[in-house]
Amino acid sequence: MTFALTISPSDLLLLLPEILLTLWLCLILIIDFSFPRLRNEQLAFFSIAGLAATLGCLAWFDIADITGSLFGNMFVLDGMALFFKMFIVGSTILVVLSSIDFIHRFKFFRGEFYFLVVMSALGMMFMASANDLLSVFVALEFSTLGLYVLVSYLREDMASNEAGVKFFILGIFAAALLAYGISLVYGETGKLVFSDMTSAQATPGLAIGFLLIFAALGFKIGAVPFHSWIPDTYHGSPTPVTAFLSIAPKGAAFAILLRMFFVSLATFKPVWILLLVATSILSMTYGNIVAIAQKNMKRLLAYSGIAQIGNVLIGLATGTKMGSDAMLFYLLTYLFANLGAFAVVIAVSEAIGSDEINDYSGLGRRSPFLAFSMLIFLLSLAGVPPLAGFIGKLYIFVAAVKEGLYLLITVGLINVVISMYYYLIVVKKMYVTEPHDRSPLKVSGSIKAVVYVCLAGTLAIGIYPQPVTDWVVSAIMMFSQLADPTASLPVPPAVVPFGG
Amino acid sequence: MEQAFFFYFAFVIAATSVLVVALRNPIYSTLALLVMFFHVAGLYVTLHAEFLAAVQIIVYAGAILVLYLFVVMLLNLKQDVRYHRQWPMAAAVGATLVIEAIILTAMKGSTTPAAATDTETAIGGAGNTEAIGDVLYTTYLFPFEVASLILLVAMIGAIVLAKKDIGEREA
Repeated sequence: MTFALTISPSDLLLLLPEILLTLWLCLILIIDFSFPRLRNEQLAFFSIAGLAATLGCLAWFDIADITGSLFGNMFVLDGMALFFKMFIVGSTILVVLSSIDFIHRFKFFRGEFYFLVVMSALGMMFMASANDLLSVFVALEFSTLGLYVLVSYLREDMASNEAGVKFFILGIFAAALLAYGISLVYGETGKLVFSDMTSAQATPGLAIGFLLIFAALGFKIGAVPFHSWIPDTYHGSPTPVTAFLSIAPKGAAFAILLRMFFVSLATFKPVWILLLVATSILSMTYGNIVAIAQKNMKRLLAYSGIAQIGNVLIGLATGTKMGSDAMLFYLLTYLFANLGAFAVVIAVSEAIGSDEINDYSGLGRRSPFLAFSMLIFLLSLAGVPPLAGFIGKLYIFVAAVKEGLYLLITVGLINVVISMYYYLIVVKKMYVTEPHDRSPLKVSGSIKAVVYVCLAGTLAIGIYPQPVTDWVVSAIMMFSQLADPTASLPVPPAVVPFGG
Repeated sequence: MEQAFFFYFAFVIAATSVLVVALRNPIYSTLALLVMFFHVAGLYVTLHAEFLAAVQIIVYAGAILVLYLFVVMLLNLKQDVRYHRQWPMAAAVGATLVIEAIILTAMKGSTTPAAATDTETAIGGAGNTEAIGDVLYTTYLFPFEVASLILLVAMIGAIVLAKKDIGEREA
């Protein structure tokens, strides 16, 4: 048997965003090493410049419709990969921007912080394109390895160390499950590429294998039976890292889940639908109920994140094109609301040195801007019209109605009400409770920029969702065979009450 | 002849694995593990997987075992401080694995697994080290290149987490 590899320049073009970012990373490392007196902000803006160039390149691919696959289908660049790559790079830019103020808390290795953040983002970009189990494993471990270090970056802080150790031990446990699952699936089918597995027969080995892979990915997204690392890790990590963890790896893992369930396992839909419905109900209910008791803002957002992932899983459980459209849309609205909320947490913690919800009292008087932004982000997370989160939840529920998943919708709606309660507790603290200290808070320019971008995203998508809807629908045309002709488009905005 | 070797390797692997858990001195346990690693490598040779056998010795017997020895010696474990309460957990995990093995063997007849060709015919005469090299730089080039980036992250990460006594770098 002979092996041959032919790569033409036009093939390498598909890898351009990744190659660009890799070279940029080496530059970051060299610059950081050669100019030790360089200021943090300069290095941060340099990293952002690289990320922005990558984002531009991805946007160009999306507009010019440049797609294809490489290395015998192991690396695919389709609309979905492009969507998730833009999602990841965009959230990384916001995270880097919001970390500029926070970074003075690190005593050492400030430059390497940016390097590791961008490096994990690169790993997640590979995850978005990975179309076979081997690349999934390698890319997933690649992105997680950087995150292990980032979580324990506050070396003198015991909470950060604890977070790092917990995340690391559970993370390698998940990696072991993933490797075992992959070996079982490969043993049963003899295939690694997702699209080659469609004709796989249902054997116990295959079922156990995919279940293990699902468990490992469930760990990444923090769905309920696999969520135990989330609260402590979110709480102990440096806040920008928490923000990063809460959004970017989840997007990348959902790209893999979509490929796995919608492509490889499309024929087993009646079986996995039960699994996803159960995971979704558990995540929503557990996340929302435990969030009520939280006293710390980061922990509250951690549990609310678990619940939000439960909502995204509803879209996955429908197994239709419409459900996946709704998932992508929901993730986008979650990105803006969640990163915005974390940016406010960072700003408040920089100004008053605390993340406790009690210390948010009177924020409405101390910093009307921060309080108002937090209000908008929390209401969007709760799903109040006319904000983006409302449209996201609406699409998800409509997709579930079309599939007749009434149990899921009932539980989902009850959970919306529960979540409203704890989001409003924070709002009440900010606006009604008297502050202990009335001095106004100072907010730096970079945090303001992040908050403005997230506010703009949350409001714009909420008021005029059509362009985003169109983008999302066209991004995953690959699942068009799963579309029910009567339900091929998410609700047009005309049906949406405040959605104009 | 091949079967005789198989039974020899299998017996020694089973026996030394038991010794790893049963011996009271952790150093002896580690050394029993070393013997086990060598015999697993022997098993690979009988399966015509000489590359895997070499990797088994280099990585497991060479690198990982030395790491274990370091840990055992540095921690300076006293012989009596050992875990004795772990058997219920061990029994549960063991039972799960045994049941899984039984299910998988029992189901073997009911399905037809993907037909696999013999290694030698599949790679067409070349040594399997050579074949793995070929595949690694052609079919699996993408994961291979990504793995090289993993090494870079691991290196930087280890420095960031573990380096001591660094002068404050002015920002």
